[in-house]
Amino acid sequence: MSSLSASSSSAREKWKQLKILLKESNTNYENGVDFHRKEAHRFDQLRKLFTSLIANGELNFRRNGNNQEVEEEQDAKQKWNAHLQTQYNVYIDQLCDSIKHGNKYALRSMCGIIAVSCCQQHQKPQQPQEMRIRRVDVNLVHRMVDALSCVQEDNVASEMAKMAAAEFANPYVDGKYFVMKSIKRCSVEVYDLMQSKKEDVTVVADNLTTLLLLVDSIAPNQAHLDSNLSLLIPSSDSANNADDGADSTDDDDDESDDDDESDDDDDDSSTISNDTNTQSFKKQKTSHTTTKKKKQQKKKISFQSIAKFRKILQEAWLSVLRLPISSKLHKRALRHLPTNVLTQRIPSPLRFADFFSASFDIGCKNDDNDSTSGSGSTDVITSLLSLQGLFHLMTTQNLEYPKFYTSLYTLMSHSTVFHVKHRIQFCTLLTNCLMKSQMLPAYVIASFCKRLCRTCVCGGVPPSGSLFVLALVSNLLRRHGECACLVHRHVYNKSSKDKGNKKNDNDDNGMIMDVFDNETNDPAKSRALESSLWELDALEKHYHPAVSALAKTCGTEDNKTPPYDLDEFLLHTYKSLFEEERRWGGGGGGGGIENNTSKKKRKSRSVALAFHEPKTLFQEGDAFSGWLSVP
Amino acid sequence: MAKKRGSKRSLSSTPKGLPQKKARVVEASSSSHNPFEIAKSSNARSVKHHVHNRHVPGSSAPQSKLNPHTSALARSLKRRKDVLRQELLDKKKSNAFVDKRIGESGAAKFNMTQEDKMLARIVRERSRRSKRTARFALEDDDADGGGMTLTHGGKVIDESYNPQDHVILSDDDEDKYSGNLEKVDTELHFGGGAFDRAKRNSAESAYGPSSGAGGRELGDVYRSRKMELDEMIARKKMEKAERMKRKENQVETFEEMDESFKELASILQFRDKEKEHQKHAQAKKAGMLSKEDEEMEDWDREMKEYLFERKVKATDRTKTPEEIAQEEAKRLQELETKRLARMNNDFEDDDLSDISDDDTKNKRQQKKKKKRAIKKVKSAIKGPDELDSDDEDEDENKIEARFTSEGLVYVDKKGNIVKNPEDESDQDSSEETPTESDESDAESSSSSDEEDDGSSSFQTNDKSNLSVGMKVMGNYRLEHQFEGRENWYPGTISNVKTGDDGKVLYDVSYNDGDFEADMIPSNVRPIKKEKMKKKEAEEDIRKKKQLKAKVKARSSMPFVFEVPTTLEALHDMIATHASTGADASLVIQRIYAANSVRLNKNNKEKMQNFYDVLLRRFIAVGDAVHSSGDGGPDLGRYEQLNALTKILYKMAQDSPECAGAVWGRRLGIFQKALAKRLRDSELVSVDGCDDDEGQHFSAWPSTGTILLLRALGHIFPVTDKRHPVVTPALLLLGQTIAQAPVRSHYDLVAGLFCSGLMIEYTKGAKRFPPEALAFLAGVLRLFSLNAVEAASGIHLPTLEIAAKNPKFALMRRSVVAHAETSENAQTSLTQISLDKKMLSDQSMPTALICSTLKLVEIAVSNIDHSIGGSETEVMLEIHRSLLHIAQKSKRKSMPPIILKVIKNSLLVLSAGIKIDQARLPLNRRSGATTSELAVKSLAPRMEDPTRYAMSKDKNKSQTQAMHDRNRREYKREHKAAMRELRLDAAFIENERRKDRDKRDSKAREKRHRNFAWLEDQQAHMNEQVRMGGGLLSGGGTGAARAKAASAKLGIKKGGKF
Repeated sequence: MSSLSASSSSAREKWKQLKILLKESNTNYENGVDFHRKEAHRFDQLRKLFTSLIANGELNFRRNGNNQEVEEEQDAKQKWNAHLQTQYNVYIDQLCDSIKHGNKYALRSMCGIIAVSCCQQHQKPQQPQEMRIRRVDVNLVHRMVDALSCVQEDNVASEMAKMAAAEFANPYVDGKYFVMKSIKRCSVEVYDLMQSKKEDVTVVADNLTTLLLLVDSIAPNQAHLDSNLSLLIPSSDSANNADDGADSTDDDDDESDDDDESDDDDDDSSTISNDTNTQSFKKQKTSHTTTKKKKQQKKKISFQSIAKFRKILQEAWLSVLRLPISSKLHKRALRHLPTNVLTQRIPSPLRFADFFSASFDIGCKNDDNDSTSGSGSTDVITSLLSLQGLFHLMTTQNLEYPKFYTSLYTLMSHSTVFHVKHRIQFCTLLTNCLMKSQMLPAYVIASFCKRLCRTCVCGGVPPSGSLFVLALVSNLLRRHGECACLVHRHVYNKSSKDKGNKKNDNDDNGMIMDVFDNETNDPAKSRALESSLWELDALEKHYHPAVSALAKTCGTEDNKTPPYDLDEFLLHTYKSLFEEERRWGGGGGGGGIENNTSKKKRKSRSVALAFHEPKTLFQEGDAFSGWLSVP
Repeated sequence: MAKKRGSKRSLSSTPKGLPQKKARVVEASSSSHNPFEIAKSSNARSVKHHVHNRHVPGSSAPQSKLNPHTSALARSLKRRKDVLRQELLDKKKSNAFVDKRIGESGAAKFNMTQEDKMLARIVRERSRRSKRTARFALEDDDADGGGMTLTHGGKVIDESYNPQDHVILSDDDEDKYSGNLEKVDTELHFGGGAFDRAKRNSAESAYGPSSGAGGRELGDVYRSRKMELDEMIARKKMEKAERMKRKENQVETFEEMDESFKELASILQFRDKEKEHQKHAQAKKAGMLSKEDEEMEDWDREMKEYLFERKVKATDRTKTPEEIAQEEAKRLQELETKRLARMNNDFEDDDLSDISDDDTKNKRQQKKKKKRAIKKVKSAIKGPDELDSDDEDEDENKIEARFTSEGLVYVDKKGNIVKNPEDESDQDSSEETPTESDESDAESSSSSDEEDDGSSSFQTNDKSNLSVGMKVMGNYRLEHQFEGRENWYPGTISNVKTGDDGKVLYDVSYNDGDFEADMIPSNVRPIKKEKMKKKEAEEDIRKKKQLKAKVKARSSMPFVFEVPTTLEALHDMIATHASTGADASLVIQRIYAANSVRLNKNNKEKMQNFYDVLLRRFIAVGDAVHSSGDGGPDLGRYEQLNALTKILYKMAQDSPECAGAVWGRRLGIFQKALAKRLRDSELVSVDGCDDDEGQHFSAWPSTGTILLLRALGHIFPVTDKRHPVVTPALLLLGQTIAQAPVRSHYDLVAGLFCSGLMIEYTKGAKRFPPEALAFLAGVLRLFSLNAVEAASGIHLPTLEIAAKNPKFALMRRSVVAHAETSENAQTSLTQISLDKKMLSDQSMPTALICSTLKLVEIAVSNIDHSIGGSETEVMLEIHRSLLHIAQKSKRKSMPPIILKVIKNSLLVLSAGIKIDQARLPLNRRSGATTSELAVKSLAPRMEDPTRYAMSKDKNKSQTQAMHDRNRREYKREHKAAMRELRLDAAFIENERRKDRDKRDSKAREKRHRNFAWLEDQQAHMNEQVRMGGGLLSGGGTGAARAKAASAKLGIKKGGKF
């Protein structure tokens, strides 16, 4: 009892302390730096207090049902505990509030609290203390993520997310696991909210996506998962020595929990087609049974299984992507998915196909409907990135997407593709799609060649893009001999080639009409095979010497010349071409001193000069006369 | 070792490696034939039937007939011996004289008379000179050694000549006796008996009875022949006499006619031609000229034109740019030293010719007033670049004119004497010559005036004060002069005397040596005083001029400048020395002229730096054009730009590498700046929401930069396919157009300007700039009815941003509004200007669309027909955009004048390009050749066994065989030529050695003889000494004699004493 009295006296002090500390929170939030420092201190003090309380065992977390039973018992100790719990909850509320306002110290304190308040609620009371497995409290993490998702300001939110990811989620495997889990939970909640109340949840969705993007997609390997090192709350040795029964029950428990949630998920996801869902479920079930067998041998906690990890990753992403996220994040996600998520052997990657195809449609249809909300270039990028994802799925997961070439063809009509930052991805995609397959029909190749060249001529494509296109066209023409009619059409053989449409060819001496239809987005209807690549003639007159030279040779090569290495053409930009031209002249790109030395070394080319002495800056008959008023 | 070996070889031996067998071969060929050589020469294909003139391969030249048996080698050796040897012998001989004159040697010396000799000689000389002889010399002299060969019947008479083969008398001559007396004689003398007759009979039997003397006796023939000849001679003589007579007659008649012609000519000479001329002129006036005359008239006129055509003298050679630069620099240097000298009151060797003395004070004041007014105007409009200079000008505005010791001087507040800005305009150095001439005229006129004054005043002076020896001006022989003209010449009085009527008379001897006596005083006047006066006046003028010159020198701009190293330094310079834009240009011009690379190669670095400074100056001025317009006639920024362009051009011409390097660097800086602006633009406003910031920030280059790029097109050729400066510039422009987002009207103007630049750059070479055309199409789209349409045709990211901008969405509306509000817009089209004021103007959108349309037209006219068949593709977007904006709608259709322009552009476009017309398809693959198309034949190649030949070219194709044959032949010929040359050299060497041997042997012989004699003498002496003193007694004097006497004398110790 003495201990109890001692504890009660200390408890009284602590109670006082708690009261003081929790009270101060009522001051308003607009007091500047000084206030923030105080707040940070207060949160830290509280955290220390609660840490010590938890360490003492005075603060104990039980399941709700158990708690009520205990309350009925009216034990003093338990009462104290209950009281502490309420205080604790007040503290957590305060922290979440602070996080919502974008205070980093609150987040840090939150992380600290999460680290100490390990969850034991799943354990059955009859089990001895030593046998219980300590792990991260899911609810706390959920509250943190929820608070994070509510941060309003864009920049602050991203920074907070960055911090949470860097300090909490990424270093600890279990932290990551539970963060993903809570992201999923949050997004489901938000989705419900959106469906029911039609509220604008873009900010929340954005924040969640940002956080998910920042979280490393998966733990490195199984061995890493097995080791205790990367856990936030290392499981005790006893946990490893625990008997099979305890573990299996734990697993079962966990699984049921998971299943419940996935059921929720199922109910919520009305957009996702039922077929795929059930399929994926079946798969999940099968995978579960197999993992169960393995687990029985290896005795692991849920987050230590890589399969669970993969599953939660997939689900987190799927649930987030249902939300209406901003176009910028949309693009980021599109870029992130194929490289980081789809490659992680997630259980059912094909479930992302719908997302990709939907986002492609956003890109290509929007400029017909409303051009104000989605601008052309961003749309093109979205479509491009989604196509890339689709391509990945097609090649790795055997996705069937018959519209693919049509989509790609549609995308090409936007010459902005050659200007945007992701043009390299587009070019690689083109190369992969067109060059790697021998089986493509001739009309597809011809349409692509024709439209590519047309875009180069009409669309103000930079010389770098033109170079790439010409190299690609040259390679294609050589590989697909049946497209040779694009660059070479015999006058005499013409009639036999164009049997189908003699009506249009009402010419006598080998002249043909250009029947190519650039408006249609279906390669099959473009009639490119009946046309000729006149664009090459135009490109021969391009102002850039390299483009001109390449256009001249395009189509004249014989079969022996090796195809162009398209990767070389990918990296050209205006700047690189500019530098190259200057270097060619012997100018050198460096600064003054470097320039001098390098000039001495290099044989500088003699510079040709004009031989008409100018009388005035603007002369009669130049391109400016008539529209530029010059005295 | 080498030396030893060398010493072993005698001089006469030939060097190693030379063929030694030659001499032997020569001997052999002369004596007997080498069977191998014969075999070799007969290697040639034997001929079955010899056909004349047919060349048989392998057989040697025709002259081989001369000795068919000798080999080619032998022949060549012989030729060498004959020709080369001779040449060698004659090579250094100039005095070998062979008397080849006819009749001076041999028997002819005595047989020929002097006349005959002369005749023979002249015949020889003529025939030698005759060109016809060479024509029939069939064989070249070289081959047969230049010597004459005897022939008979066209065949060489040689040792191979076999007289039996040749019949001397060929009796198939039909007219064997024709004119050949000797033959007849021979026949007469050597018995014309039966033999002759028989022969004749045989001839008759062959050809029937011959004509003429066929049947007569020879004697008759002879007689009749003689008579005939006599007759002929007589006839000839008569003819000759007659001819002589006729000739005399003719000469006489000619002389007569000549005399009569003289009379005629004398009449002709004084004929009055005036009348004829007048007549002709009248006819011409009346237009009644005959056709012939008219033609002649034309001819005459043309002739006259040619006559009076300025005859261009051949000038000196054109000066090199270096020399021109040198001269210019020298001129400026001289002007500067003169100026400095004037400033320092140093007027030695200064003619002050450029100072006029007639400008008055009030004129100056007037000028000054005017200047003040101008200055006020100028201070109102002031550019930022000239700010500092204008500040100083304002200070200077408070200067006042003061007369000091140095003349009129302008003094500012601080009391410093400053330059007078007014004089600059009329003190340009280039205006020297006209003022100079004016002044000289003025001077001369004034002096003559004074002279006249002097003379008139002098007449009133006393007349007796002239004495002997005085210098005077005399009026030369007044009484003899026409109409009282006076000729005054300087002279001295040689004598003073008193005339009859008491008048004083002077004898004057003129300086030019003439003398005049008895001159009346009025005709003589002393010159001293006049001169004095003149001098005074001159001095006066001079002083005035000096003062003025000094003032001017102080106020004028220096002629020589140092090169400024920074832009700031240049601006300082301009601020201190120049007040107008033209002055600034002049300063730069002078900096360039004084420090050109052409003057000194060491200036290169300085000028390269200066070039960059100028580029920056250009940009600064160009930016000022944007911010505050042209700046009036004083600043004249556009004019400054023009001047700068010219200077840049000239400097580039001076050192192209420097210009290329500087421009390249500048472009690099532009590129970096553009990249930075593009990065910034992403941050400033993503969607053009925050207009306040977006207004100020522009990713497009400044006006100055774009103007500089315009100048680039003047300095470097834009038609090169690849140029180290122009191509990067094009890329830079392309990048700007494609990537710099359009946010304001300025951006649009800059974009249009850049597109114009790209079009201008590519115009000459008929290339096409896709970015510029896409930009134009996009700009046109901005004027379309609604935003959706606008967005559908825009391909460049630059304009996509603009299309979203609500500011540009109203463009069409504002065009319409502008057309409705202002009357001006309905009638005339507005042009874009680079001025900033323009941007906020109401008419901006209208001006934009007009300019764009105009530029489209220009672009179309450039692209037209230059690109194979693909103008359609190139212009497709522009065409569609034009169609779009030409659409009519109820409220927002374009104003009629703009619609007209659009339609006009469409017309131009459809005329230039052929939309929806059939074209020739591409035909790029080269067609397969017949050999490729042919079915591959696998049959073995058969050889015709009947035509078998051991040929080297057996298995080769025809062309290959020919080629090889040619090569072989060439090789053979080459080898032969080499061999010939080698043999020649060897032969010459051999001959030289032989000659030398011969020469040496003579000398050696002589030497040997001498040595032998000497040895003989020595031997004698030795023998005598050996014999003892007895034989040597009886010589010597003194001690020697005594010694000899004592018989102890001995030459050798071992003597027998």
